[in-house]
Amino acid sequence: MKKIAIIIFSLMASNAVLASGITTNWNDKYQKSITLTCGEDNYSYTCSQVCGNESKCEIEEKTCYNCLGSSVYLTHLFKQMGQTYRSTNEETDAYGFVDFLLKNEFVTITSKSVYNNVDRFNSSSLRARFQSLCSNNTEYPVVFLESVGKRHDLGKVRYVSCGEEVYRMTDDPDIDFNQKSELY
Amino acid sequence: MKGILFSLFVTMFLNSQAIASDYVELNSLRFTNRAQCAVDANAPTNSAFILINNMDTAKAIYRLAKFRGENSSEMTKMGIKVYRYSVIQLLSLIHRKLMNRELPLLPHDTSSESELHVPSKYKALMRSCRSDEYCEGLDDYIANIWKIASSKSSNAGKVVKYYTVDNYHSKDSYVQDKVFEKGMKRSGMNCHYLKKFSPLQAQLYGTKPTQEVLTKIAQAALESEEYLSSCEDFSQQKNLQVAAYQIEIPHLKEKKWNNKGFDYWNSLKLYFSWAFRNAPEMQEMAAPFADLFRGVAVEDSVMIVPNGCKSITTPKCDGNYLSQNALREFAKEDFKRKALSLDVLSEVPDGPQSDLMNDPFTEVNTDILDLATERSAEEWLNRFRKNFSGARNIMKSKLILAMSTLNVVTSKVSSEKMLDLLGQQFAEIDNLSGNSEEVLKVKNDLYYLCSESTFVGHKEFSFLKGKLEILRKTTLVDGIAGQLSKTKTAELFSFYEKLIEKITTSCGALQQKKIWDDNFTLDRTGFFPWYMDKIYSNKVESTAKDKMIAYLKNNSPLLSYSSYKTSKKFEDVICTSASDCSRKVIQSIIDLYAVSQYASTFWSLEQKIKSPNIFNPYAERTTCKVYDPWFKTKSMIFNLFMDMGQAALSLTTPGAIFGRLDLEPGRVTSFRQLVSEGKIEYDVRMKPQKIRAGLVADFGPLLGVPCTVSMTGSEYNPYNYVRFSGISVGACNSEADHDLNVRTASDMDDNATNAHSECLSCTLNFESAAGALTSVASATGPTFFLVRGLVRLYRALKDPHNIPRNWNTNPNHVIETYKRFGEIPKKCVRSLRKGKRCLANSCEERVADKITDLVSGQILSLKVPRHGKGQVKVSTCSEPIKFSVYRSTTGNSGHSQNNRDCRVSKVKIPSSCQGIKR
Repeated sequence: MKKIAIIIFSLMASNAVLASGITTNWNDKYQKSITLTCGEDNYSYTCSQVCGNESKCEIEEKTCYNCLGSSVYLTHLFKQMGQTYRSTNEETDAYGFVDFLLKNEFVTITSKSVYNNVDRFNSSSLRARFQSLCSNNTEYPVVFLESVGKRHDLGKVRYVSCGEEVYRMTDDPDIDFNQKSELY
Repeated sequence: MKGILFSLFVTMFLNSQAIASDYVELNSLRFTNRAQCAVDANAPTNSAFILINNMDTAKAIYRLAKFRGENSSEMTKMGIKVYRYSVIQLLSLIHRKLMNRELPLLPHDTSSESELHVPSKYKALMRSCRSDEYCEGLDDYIANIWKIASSKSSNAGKVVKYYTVDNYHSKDSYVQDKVFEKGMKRSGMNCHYLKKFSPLQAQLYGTKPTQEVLTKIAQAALESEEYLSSCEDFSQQKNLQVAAYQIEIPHLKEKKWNNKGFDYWNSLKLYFSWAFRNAPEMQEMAAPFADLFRGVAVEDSVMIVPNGCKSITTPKCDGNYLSQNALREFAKEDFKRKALSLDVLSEVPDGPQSDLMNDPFTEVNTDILDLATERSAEEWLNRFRKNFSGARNIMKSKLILAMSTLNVVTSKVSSEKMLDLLGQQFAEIDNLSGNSEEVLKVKNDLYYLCSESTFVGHKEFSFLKGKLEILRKTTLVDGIAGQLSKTKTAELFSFYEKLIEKITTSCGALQQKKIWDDNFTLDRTGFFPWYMDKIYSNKVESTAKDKMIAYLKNNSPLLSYSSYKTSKKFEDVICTSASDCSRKVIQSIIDLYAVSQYASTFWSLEQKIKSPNIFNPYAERTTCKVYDPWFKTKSMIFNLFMDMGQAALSLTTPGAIFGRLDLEPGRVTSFRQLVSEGKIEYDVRMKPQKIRAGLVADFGPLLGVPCTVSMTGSEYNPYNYVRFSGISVGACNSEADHDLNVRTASDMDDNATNAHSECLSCTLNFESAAGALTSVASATGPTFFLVRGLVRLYRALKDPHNIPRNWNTNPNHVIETYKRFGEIPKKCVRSLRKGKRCLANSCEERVADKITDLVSGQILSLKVPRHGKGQVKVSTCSEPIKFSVYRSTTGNSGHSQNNRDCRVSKVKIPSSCQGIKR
């Protein structure tokens, strides 16, 4: 019985990439990083693969090119988060996510992002747009985008970290096509 | 953290002490009239303003402080200071390295016409890189150079190492000593924080330095702390959003600088953009924010603009240059009042060339950017920033909405499907009768669709059709907003084209008189705003949006974000019906066209900071040949020669020059060409050499000018010859032989062709040899032509605007004169505006020349005895500088005395002031 319980628990847990999730930080030298907290043994795969430590990893994140400015893309990202840029609700497996992190070609944004050039810092409307990406009431979902080339240009949205879970993201908006609407 | 900030403050304070100087050294002010200002646009400036808008950086630092729970107000202020400091310090560093030959010049002109050597790899790189796409190779190239520049090798050693990067030329690729005035060090860049625009920038306010202007310059220079301060003195910088600086490169030889200046500025801008993000030196300059600042869109934040008519970038008649110069509209006081009528903000802009055509002879050097209307330079710049940011936000929203709409529509509905849906929407149109609200709505909707699509898509009548086609070729929009779309602009345009073609064809086939019969009254308010703008000049307000909102009360939209189901927000609707979708596709394409016209105004697509010539609207007018600064001069000389030529001809043999009858009227050729082709013959009684010499003397400047051949009276000519009766000059005829840089919309449409029109056209006139001039000449005689020529010349020379004129005034000389006499005496005005000194006598001037050649600083007072020991006080030394003077007894004490009669020797600079030696 005990063995069955462990197997069931492991299967359930296999969907969760992390134990406590991901947070973004700016250190005393104003350098950006993300912290992965894996915590318990069952979830230690991600951390041990990313940094060799089973419970916690800190990964440096390079400042992206022209992200402190009035870029059209950044404006669209923050305005359309949850609408054009949305979660597919498809959980990513730990392997794919680890590979993504190991490449170290990513940029993260949250509702408390320094790159936000649209709303007030952590405004309720912006927070709501980010929170709409997660169905588990994560307070500060972290959106991962690709960072492209030597210059670290902002690329496509890839993942959103909703606490323990990491979901794939898409930039295909969910559109309703109501063909009957225009018939007179 | 506080420790870091404190140490940074200390470093900055110490640096500012080291750099700060007691006196303000300013370059000569160059006053120009309109024509000279136009000419000057082709020369590199030695004085510029650095305009910093640090709003985005400040907001980021504020958020960073909030994120970390630090004091956001203090940290933001600190971050702004560090940002400004790092920008100025980095520019100074690059300047020093360029001047000391620690960095090679990166030529601005990489074309084969360049007179200077262009390093091969650099040339290949610049030719392969598009200006609207990231050029990774350029970054790598500069990285290799910078690695050597930052090494500890000697300057000579660096020059040798640079050969491993590219084949630089020892002379052409570096700033040479001969660029500087004799004996002057390759000094640094003079940098002043600009508190207030003042008579110290008098050349921006007026064209000629009068006695009053010179007095104001002197008074302003004596109170310079009111207007300028040290670039590093942050206590003077009150505004946290913007900062303006004046930088100057002193002691340049103008002619030599003209050859190197544009390469210098181009290098400064390219190195700056790279170094700001990548140079190791930035870690110290921008500490502790260096990593954060790597993300600043520095090209959107920093701008260098010339302080006057000269340029930083060579004028070029292309969309990029024109739209960058359109920036000056945002600096004007009446921007908000005029915003709606400005092309840059219009729904369907004509393009940046429209300003040139609408106002070819605009004002210049009369405070055209309303500098005097604000209390401080900061306030002026802040107005500029606000206007610019507001307009950019409008353009950004337009672009985002257009891209989103086109992406959704093209991905969900094919053009065939859209037509099918339109067919369904208007299926019953032929059978609808009556005036019910429902019927009118359908009829109006179809009317709007057909009108708007015909306006943009009609093969013969649409003026917009050709303009919009630029979207097939331009990559500008993809460069700015490529990440927003999976589909390139060209593909989006193809979708639009297909759709519009079918809609216009269908609309043409409608039984229009039956559908929109006599009982139908069009509700004009339902058109989209762009159509209102073009057709009704915005006299009717569009209610299209209100109509859509009303429609949605009882209907579901055709295309909407899924969130609409719950939010019911209008913003979540893409389009309500097939006709609305089609019209929004048109609107979106027009918006993309509008953005592409002014993309370079609002976004920096190149890897260098912008440097528009905002104080000289004739930069683009001249390069696009809308204004010819030499036109008046040429025509004046022409008139004189013409009259003198006529005089000479009438004196000898009228009609001495003949053209053969097989000359083709309308042919474009030059007089010289006709001579070489043997189409021109001379009176056999005259010696050809004499005639040729006479021609060169009379028509010299015009012999090679291409002109159209014109003939009068030839059909009645009984002889085989026509008589050459001179050259006439017309004005502003369109020419097509301009050099097009096909990159943006404005380069390719009809208006652009007009933008390149020539303002000088001429005609070679031939007339029947049996014409009447012989009798005119015999009646009036040669004297008439000579007198007329001189009268015309006199009148032309009095033209204050169109004959190039300039005056150079050295502010240091103006102060000396003012201090010497307590005013600017009338007798000194002439000397001072020639850039010369004016003191009590030439011996005093000689002493002043000698002292300022030896030491830096302004002369505060001078005692020059007739013989013996004298002394001078300069602003940079607390003790007087002593010297001996000897004047020959033959000279007098006035200005006519020759400098050689006054000898200055034994100049003793006090030991405490040895540091001021040049």
